[in-house]
Amino acid sequence: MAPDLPVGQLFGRPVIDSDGRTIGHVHDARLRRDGPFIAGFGPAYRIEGLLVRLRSIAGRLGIDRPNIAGPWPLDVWGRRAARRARFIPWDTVTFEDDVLRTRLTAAELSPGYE
Amino acid sequence: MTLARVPDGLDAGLALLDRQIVDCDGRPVAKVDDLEIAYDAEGRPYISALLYGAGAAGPRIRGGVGRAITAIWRRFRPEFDPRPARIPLNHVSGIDSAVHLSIPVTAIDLPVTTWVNDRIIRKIPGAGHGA
Repeated sequence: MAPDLPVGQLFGRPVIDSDGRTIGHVHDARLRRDGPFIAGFGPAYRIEGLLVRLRSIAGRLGIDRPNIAGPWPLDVWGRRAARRARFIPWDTVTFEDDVLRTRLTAAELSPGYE
Repeated sequence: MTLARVPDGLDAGLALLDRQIVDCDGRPVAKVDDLEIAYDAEGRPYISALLYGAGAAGPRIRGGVGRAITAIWRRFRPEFDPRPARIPLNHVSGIDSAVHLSIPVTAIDLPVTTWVNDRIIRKIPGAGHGA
């Protein structure tokens, strides 16, 4: 189980794969609306997994998204950076102090964006 | 029962964090400074509330600035172990470019706004004559 932290405090934490290599840092949390039913809201947002990426200038600029709309060449640069993001299912993650570990190897991780 | 008009899936950092929260009349309330995590019976995490205010924003800001914001916030709170202000998800009616609530801003605990109103705004001559 994760420590009692809100979502935002997971961002920026390093993620290590089962080979002990740093995959990157937590960049975002993917939510899916299939959690417990909340009256007046409906199914809650369950945390499906974490998006992890290496630190980059594109990330700093906030353009590392697959659907960024221009201008050229920032859109090309941003989409290329987004292809390097990886998705880590939540149930493969364990917490060790400030570090997150996944029981998957880097090669087993799926792309962060379709 | 009316359910919230929200997307089926989203990325929290992109679509929720730092978004404006507006009340049922469209008045600004706060920003989404963080998201509270709860766990269901099977130990799976889900979002249970929006967190706002310095108590939520401070820890997200790394380094000395974040620690200073959090320390000042703690100093102003009367509780021994203060928790960030929260809006339970059942008050959220929609998510688009902003997060919409089903309740008015007057029903929400806004400690800083209340403090500024009570200690500063109300002492200004003519403060009670507003429309």
